[in-house]
Amino acid sequence: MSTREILGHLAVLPALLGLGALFFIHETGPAAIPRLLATLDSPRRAEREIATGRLGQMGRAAASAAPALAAVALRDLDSSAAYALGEIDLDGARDLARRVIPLLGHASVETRRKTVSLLGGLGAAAKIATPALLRALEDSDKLVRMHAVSALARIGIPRTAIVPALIGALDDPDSSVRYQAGTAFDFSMPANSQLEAARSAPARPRDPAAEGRIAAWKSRAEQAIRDDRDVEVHIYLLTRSRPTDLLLTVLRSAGAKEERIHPLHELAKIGPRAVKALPAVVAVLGDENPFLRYLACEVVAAIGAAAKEALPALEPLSRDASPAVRESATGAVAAVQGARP
Amino acid sequence: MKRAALALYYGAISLSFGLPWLLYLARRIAVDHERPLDAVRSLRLVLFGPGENLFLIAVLNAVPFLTFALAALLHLGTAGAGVARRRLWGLAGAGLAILFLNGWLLIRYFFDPSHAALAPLALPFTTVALPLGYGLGRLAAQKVPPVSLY
Repeated sequence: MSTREILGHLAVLPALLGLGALFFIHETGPAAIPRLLATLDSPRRAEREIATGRLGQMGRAAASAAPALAAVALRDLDSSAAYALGEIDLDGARDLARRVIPLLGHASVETRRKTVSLLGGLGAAAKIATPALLRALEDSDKLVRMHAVSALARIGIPRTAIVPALIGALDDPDSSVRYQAGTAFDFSMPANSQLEAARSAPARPRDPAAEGRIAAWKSRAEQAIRDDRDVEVHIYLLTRSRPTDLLLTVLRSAGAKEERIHPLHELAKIGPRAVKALPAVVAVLGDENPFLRYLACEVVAAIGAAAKEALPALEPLSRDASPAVRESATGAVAAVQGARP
Repeated sequence: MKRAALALYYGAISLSFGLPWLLYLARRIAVDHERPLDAVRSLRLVLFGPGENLFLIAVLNAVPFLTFALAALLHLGTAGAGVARRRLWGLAGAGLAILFLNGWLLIRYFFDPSHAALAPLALPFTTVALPLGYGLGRLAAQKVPPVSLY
């Protein structure tokens, strides 16, 4: 083959790679949203879940999909659509939670089960549903109670209401509910052999061996909560730096803001000991992402009176464009000033 | 040899992305009993779907195949009559090596994902098998007497 022929064939390769890159951009960017939205009406559940998952992955870039996701979630009580909505639109998710809360009192067990799953899917945005989910822990149906435990663990705020309820659920009459409550503490407990044994134990009602493991698990969960031993890890996640350079780094950090959602949420679950992270959290109060502002307010509220230095930054948030942020900021101010929100 | 070089070049480019997608379709049709059209539609969805991401898997799979494609074009396309046969055998060995290794990893992943969830991570590293397969192919060329096709 001549050099010219070889070069001609070689040129095909970068051209194909370029086409692949264009396809990638087209399929992962906003251009893919209309096709994903059309898939929400697919009769196949697996396809609907993939479409909602991909929309959720896009985060706020898929804001135009939020109304359709809310409609599907409400129509089918679809927790995967709710999950995606919770990733995309804070106020839309909060509004959906408000609309489905009455369904927790529905006569149909199936409706109640789907509703608690949906609220859990919304995540931290469904804080407004916490009181109703606490009541759902008294539901006569064990699956409703089990999903309520899972939903409360995922929402995680306010910690002062949820942690005692989860510990209480470790004594639920049904072993599957107790098991779910045990797994809920994974977020704040290091794994060890005893926990792994409890996790892998068959959940048989009134099995003396399983009961013993669940009791040991409960004891360790309570100790871990008293110690708040994971605070350093959460601060590390928030700042994405070495623990010794935490606060300085967060002030300089500008990119990948969405990565801070999870650690902020975890800090809000920690409570007063999260005060170590307060300067970093105060910096987030002025962020342009409403979800970050909302969670930062929740961290301040969880810290309480020790977060007085956050008050000047909280003040403008009482006029925030997002109703969820306004409400959360008001609650945070009340918590810092000593009045419970 | 020009034809052989181009066949290996474009064949490897096609398999670089096509192999994982073909095996995915095979699983959907043979194991999940989906209609071929439904399987193709689901393929486009899972290309970037959470948990599946077949596009990324194809990119990982493409590393050894595109390396092979370049080798086929440059090594065989420039070969003179005296060395072309040995080079062809060498490249055939290299191609078979990555086809076997990546095919095996992908079949494990698609047909038994509970035990091979991390298999795709190994896909690009099969590139190291190319020189080994090439050497074995060249060795085979010495053992097998030349056969005239005319």
